[in-house]
Amino acid sequence: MFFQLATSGIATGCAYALIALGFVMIWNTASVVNFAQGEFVVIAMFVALTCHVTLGWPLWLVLPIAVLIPALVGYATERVVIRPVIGAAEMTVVTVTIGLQIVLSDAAKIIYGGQPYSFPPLIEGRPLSILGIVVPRQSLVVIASMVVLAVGLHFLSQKTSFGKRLRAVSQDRETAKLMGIDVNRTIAEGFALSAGIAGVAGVLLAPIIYVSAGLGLPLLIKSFIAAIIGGFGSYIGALIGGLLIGVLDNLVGFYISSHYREVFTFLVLILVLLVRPQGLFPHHR
Amino acid sequence: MSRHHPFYLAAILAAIVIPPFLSDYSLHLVIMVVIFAILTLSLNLISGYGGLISLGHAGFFLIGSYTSALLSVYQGWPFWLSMPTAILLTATSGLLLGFPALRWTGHFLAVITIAFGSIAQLLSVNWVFLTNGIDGVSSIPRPPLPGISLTSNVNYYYFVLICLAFIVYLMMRLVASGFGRALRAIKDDETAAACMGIDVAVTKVSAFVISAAIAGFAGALYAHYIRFLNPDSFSLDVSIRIFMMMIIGGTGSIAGSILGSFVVYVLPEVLRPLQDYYYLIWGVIVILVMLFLPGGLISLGSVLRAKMAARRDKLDPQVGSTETLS
Repeated sequence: MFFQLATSGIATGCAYALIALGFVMIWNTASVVNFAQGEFVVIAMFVALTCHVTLGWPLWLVLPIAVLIPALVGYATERVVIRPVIGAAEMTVVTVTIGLQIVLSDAAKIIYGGQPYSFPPLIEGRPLSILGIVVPRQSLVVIASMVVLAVGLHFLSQKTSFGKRLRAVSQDRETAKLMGIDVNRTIAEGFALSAGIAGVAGVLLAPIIYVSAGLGLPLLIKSFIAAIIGGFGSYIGALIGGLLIGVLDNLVGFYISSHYREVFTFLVLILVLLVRPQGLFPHHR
Repeated sequence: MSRHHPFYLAAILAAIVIPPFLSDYSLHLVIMVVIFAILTLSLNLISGYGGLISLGHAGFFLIGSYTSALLSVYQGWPFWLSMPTAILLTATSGLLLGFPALRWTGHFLAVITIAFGSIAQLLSVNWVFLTNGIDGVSSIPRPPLPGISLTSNVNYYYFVLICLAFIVYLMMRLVASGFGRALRAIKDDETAAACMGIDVAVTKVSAFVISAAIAGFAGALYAHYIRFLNPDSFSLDVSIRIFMMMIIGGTGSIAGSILGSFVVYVLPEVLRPLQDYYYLIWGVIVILVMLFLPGGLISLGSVLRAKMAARRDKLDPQVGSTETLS
């Protein structure tokens, strides 16, 4: 039973991990704590829902659109509301992203109402049985997507010029500017990329949980905690932190009490901060 | 400060004279504005003056409300005993939360305080034996006062207004005191403050304790006003709302906190004809205020004056203006 629960926790954990990854990416490149990160996930979910369920478009067409649209929204929000406050007092920046969160989540609520929607699985078929553990195909898709995405992002950041620009800007914005890097453009593209990653998380999560307009903030807080547990600023830390939170959630929900699920997430956060404040995988700038 | 005196005087006069003529619903709104103003002031102490972000003030508000409510409903304690106990208990919780604040600032502290607020709310839902869970606590009595019945909302309004006046006085004294200066010094530069002989740890923790105590006081006032409590009134949204009140009004300004509470509480009511769209528009307003008035609404006057002075300088480059310097 333990392994069964842990495996199904990994699937949700993968989604948290991706959200945390995008969140950390924005923090690293722009020093912005983006409270609207969860809303990019919700946008992707609703785009997928509308195109796939309502309009009946095939998945191969729907998935890229559902990732692209949050990326565009991310790019646009950076240009319009985030750029003017980059470098301002932290409280101002936080307030702007909270304002953004309110706008995006309420727009979703106006369009789709407050009720939850169910989304069909991305892949049909009976659950597989691996070493006596029943694994739904859906979970395998999620895990595989995360691995592919993580490897792809690693390649992107190490080998491509965009990735190098992104890393240069996160290491030192001033120096990057002196080296001839267009910092503003890089930050905007970083926003688009991280919103796109959140979009992938949204597409993967949609069949696992019910899609609803109010999901953004809870998802954000989960992945925020995941990022801190993993070591804030570290990409690998964000991924592992997300997985840990997903698994822990499931185990606590079953073995202790589903009412106290959230309490335990927060307690783990406080415990990690007390015992190992730099996180599990400390980030070195 | 002196320049604004007519405005402040008019606002105070309006706060005293107008409420008896308001409708029941408007009166309810202004009572809530006053209670939230006390809460916002408590947040302003640690965030505005101390630079420590807290998104968990609903937690203190909850502890204050529930303590006073439970003691008076189930133990039969009078308000004048249950309220100080509520303050004492919230102050203790502020002490607990003050220690993490020693080590973490910025977004780390924001998450820790979110965690605190959420744990408090989840426990109030799940500890049914204590809080009655989601069914809540009902028939909380109004505070007894010899000669005056606080069951009338107009009287209760004046009661909370006097409480607010007391808290404003307290805050003004605190901010002007050595403690207030130490707090602002820490906000500007912690290391430099420590070098000047300021005990950073004691100052930060005391700021948290005082802030929590004031929030607990607001909680008690709320519980005995609304007379029914359930965990819904203390969600993360409430913490965010208090934070917004402080930021929109103006961080580090007492008048700003009160203005912010008024605007944030009353604006949704003004926007109500827009129905579903009002929360969205509220979000847009928040962003616009931050983009164009990062000092909050309270800075509107000085920003406009600086703009006008700059314009005058442009028109007449011979004459330098002193306005922009002040």
